[in-house]
Amino acid sequence: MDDRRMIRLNTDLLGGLFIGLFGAVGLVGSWGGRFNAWIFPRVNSIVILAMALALIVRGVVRREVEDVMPRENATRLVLPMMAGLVAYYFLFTRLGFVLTTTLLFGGAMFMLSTRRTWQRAVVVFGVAAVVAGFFYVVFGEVFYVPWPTGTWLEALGLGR
Amino acid sequence: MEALLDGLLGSLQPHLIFTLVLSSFVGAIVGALPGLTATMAVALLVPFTFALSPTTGLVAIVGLMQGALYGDSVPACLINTPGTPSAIATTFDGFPLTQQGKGQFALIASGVSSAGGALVGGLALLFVSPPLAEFSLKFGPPEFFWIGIFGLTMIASLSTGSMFKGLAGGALGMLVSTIGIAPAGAVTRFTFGNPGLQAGVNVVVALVGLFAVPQALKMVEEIRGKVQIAEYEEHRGVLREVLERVVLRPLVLLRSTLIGVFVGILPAAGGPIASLVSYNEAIRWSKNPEEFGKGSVDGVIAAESANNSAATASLIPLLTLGIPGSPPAAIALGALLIHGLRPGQDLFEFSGDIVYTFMWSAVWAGFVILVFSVMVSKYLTRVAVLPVHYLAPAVMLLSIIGSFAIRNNVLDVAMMIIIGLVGYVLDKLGFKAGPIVLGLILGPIVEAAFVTSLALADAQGSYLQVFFLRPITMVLIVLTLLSAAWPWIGKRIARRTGISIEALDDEG
Repeated sequence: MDDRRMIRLNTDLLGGLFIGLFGAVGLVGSWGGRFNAWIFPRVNSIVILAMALALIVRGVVRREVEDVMPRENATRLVLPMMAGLVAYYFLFTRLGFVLTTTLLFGGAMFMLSTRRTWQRAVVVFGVAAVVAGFFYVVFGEVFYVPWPTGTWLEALGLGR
Repeated sequence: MEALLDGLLGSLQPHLIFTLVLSSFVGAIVGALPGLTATMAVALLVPFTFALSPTTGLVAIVGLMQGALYGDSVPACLINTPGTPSAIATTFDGFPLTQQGKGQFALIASGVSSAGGALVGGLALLFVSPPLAEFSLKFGPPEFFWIGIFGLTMIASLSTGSMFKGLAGGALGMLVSTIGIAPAGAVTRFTFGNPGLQAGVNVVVALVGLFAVPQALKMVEEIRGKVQIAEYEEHRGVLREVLERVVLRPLVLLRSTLIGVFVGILPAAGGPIASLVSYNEAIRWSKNPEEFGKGSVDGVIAAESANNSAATASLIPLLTLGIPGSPPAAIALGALLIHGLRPGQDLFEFSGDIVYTFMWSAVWAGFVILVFSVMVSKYLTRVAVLPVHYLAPAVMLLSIIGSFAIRNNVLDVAMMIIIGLVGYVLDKLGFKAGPIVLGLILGPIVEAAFVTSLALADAQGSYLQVFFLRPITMVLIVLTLLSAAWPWIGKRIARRTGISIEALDDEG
């Protein structure tokens, strides 16, 4: 594939830096305190930092870059999907399960469709609403899962 | 013996047979979808088993595993894309058979072989597990510490891309497992002032996040138009032809299932390794090795029977020692734990009805797959080309529903999303989910055994005696070293079969 169409990264260097962050947080958090309680996380943090250092050195020495993903899909599709997941969490309790699922599940299906017409929008949001309703009823009634109904319904005195 | 018979009768209850058939069917559909692995299928299902009885939940998991490992041969044979990494070797001869107009023959051959593998693996589970569990009574904390370390050597095989990244991922998983209250001294660790984290990160939530979210995002980044399926024609008498082929020359099936059982029991291996070793041996023992890679039915039989028997055999160290033999088995351990079941002799002694029923169901899974291979194959060919724009959002939605339904806790949804997104970034940087999951699951076992062994060593006044000189620990140390050497063995196998070692990466 054409190099310009791919995101290419030095995964050793970036991987070492990224995982090193977790090791650093673990080491700082486990420093001091009771030996028996903190020895295990401390050892693991040191292992992470040692591996991170090895990866950083390898990344700097070898300077190898790898194809990570197609550039266009990363910005056009993957990032919005990731944002959608985060949005789901924030909307989940506010709008409730059914509304949030209909909007974001339908939105994701529409975004990933090859044909984005209004007819397709009607179909995918319809499917999303039916799926959301199905899970709400099945899990709510059969397994007694208390799905959030949304703060807006609660404000109207209708939610739980 | 009594427990064995009780388990046999228990497994024949209609609701368990229904569960087995249904979960195998769902597994076959998931396996037939390229990109969705057996591991992910089990991870997604585990939260839903929480509402079921332990027996029903475990039967559902074994059905799902076996179904997925049968379903994965459909895209392998028809579009030359393995449904799961365990079906890599199936593509070598399955796709050439389809190109010769023998797609139905390839699918039924893979179905019959998968059934044989599941059957032999189930019998091994049934007869090897009880004595091994009894032997585990001789284990004290130092032995469990080394068993945990032995299990962690699986990281060596799961990190074929980079050992540094595998070890860092394993250590990260163990670090995450320490969030919450420490086993020694009731000290609260890494909660950052959030009381919701005192109970730690729920293992199943982490598994769903690590396996399902990155997989869905990877499907999105590789999104493409409709996949063209190879021409698939139905003929009469194909089942009879396949059965004759298998029954008249049973050595390939027998040898491959036994290789699968052996590799499955090893913590350092799994379905992809089993199928490649078995494929390699089939070539070595064949009178016509030149036919392999050009549409040899022996190649399909070797690959498919080995990966199914390995999947069930990987449950043997799980049920007896608490050490998962493969990533799907690691998730099955999560399922055992959420039902309050602890692996080991206690599981066989106090929950014998559950565990024997479960093991018999693993045997029946073979028969279910045999029926599927005849009745369902042609429908699965349509599933193999389901568009990603439905699939990826559906996986995301199931992940959210599953993680909330475990404890009805919004914090679990947040944890699943955070772990999923971090897992995706790590995956892009070359850190696979397998080692992280292994660290997450084995971390608490190793830590508890380590802390208790330390106290024991303090009391006895000798760390050397407690950690290194007990007879069983010495054997375990040797096994650990051998297991750690697995990547080099794997590389040799890959070189001989002509496959890139990266192809064996993580899940099954």
